[in-house]
Amino acid sequence: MALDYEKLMAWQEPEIIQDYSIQDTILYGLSLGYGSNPVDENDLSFVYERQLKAVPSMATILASPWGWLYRAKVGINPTLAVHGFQGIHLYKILPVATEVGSVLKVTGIEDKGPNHGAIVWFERNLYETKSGDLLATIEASMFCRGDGGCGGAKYEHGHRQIKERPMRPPDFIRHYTTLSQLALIFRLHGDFNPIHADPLVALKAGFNRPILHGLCTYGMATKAILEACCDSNPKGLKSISTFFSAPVFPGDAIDFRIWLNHNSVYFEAVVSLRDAIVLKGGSAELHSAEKRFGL
Amino acid sequence: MTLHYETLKKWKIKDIERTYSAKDSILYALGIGIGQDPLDENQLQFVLEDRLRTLPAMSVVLAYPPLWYWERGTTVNPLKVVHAEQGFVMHRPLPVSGTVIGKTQITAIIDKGISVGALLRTENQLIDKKDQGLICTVISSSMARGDGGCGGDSDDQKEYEFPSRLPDAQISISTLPQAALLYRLSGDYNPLHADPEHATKAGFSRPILHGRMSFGLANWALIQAFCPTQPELLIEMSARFAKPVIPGETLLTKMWRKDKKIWFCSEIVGSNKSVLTRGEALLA
Repeated sequence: MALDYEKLMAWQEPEIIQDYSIQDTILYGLSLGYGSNPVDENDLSFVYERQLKAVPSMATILASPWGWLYRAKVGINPTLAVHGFQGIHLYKILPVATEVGSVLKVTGIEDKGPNHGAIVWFERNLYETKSGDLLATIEASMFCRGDGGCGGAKYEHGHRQIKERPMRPPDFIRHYTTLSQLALIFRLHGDFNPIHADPLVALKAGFNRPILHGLCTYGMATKAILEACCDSNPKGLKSISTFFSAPVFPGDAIDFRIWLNHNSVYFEAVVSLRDAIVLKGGSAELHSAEKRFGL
Repeated sequence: MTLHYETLKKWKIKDIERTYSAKDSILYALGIGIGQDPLDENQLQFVLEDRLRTLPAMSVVLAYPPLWYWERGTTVNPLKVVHAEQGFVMHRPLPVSGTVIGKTQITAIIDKGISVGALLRTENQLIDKKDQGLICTVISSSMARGDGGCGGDSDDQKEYEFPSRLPDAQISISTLPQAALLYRLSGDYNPLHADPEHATKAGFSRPILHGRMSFGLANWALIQAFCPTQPELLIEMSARFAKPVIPGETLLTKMWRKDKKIWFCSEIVGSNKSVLTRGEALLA
């Protein structure tokens, strides 16, 4: 059975409502590595309730219909599906605790042809239930490696082509070492896919150990850009997106390479020890320097 | 004003009810540092929901009334109270999720003299709400350093002597610099463990680990040494707090065993600083 194009395009996912607390916001900060210097004021501002801030990328784990593509029973081969793209566009500062809701919509299926796979694109708007305020638009894709040739209209996400890396050395490099138990911590945000925790399941999927959640690497990229370009001010970030190009294993040390051009950022992430580019074609839009640095 | 023995002896501590999920049990284990080897089945049993077991030491954090001595009228000077001893007796394994009721009583007020303080001992019965069965008895002691000379109960300190030989087992467990920040999500939000300014005011150079977390680390060390696949076999444990652990330090637990009886102590690797002393435990 192969991917059913018509069924997937018409897929209707129920609305998800999530009430989250400052504990959830703190756990999210800790899972990105904030607090690894526990006496650093900046680190503490993302993991301690006094003057707590939410990392903007937390939008990706809120009110998420985890595992929807597997539950949808639209014929995809789940063991060959991997996270392809992740992006968010931010409209408001994320509250550190509130109730949010979102409805996921399939926006397109990009058929790469037989043997090449198909890319399923989807997005959701995250809003605060109490105020009705739109907080963020979250866009993502799953690369279904076993489902090429599914047919249907040719769909192109033209605005999501991978941009060229600048020709100069990076303007900033942030180096983070991940914890060996990081995937075990990150999964508490809601993605309990055993590929991130159970060694046997990971082995069956072709990995010699459980892999880190792509959304965790994505969150660390957000942290890196906030630190390098925004003085860790979450208000400085307008949008951030990236393609996932190789898995990260918990315990990996990751270099986030960042190029800043006025208010636009290009970035990628590399695990030097394995010579692997794990995030590529990353891009972020920042608010003006005045707003970023609160001048 | 000083501690009034009769008032405190009759003091009623309110019952606590706590509902916890498998996720809370997992977060507790991760807070202790379990999962550092994410391929080790003996660690995964505490952090994966499809095979989940609880660490017995989680019983001491579930439904214990935090800082009860801060309530008005106890006559205790709360500013000078430090956690002194911790212990538990398991009556049956702690479920991975459920609702528990903690009933706490003050069982002894021991006057250690004006210069030392008064030792306040409590017993917390942890009861499963579903069938009212007793899961665990948690025994805690706090030293009220400002309340010595109150004229309390007679000292009941037992003899303590461990075998005079090299330890039968030694386990070292490293802690993360952010360990206290993760551990506090299990419910003890005392700023002493997170806020550098607060820690300085309390006389520490930086935030310290929770005493109950050091106790949990020793619990995990004992299980690794004597019952790694059957944590429920560890049914009794107690120790005295000597010094706090700074997040990032490595705790070395030395253990001696004779039949079902275990003696242990924990220290900081590289400093000879004792953290837990007079440790005792019992296997089923």
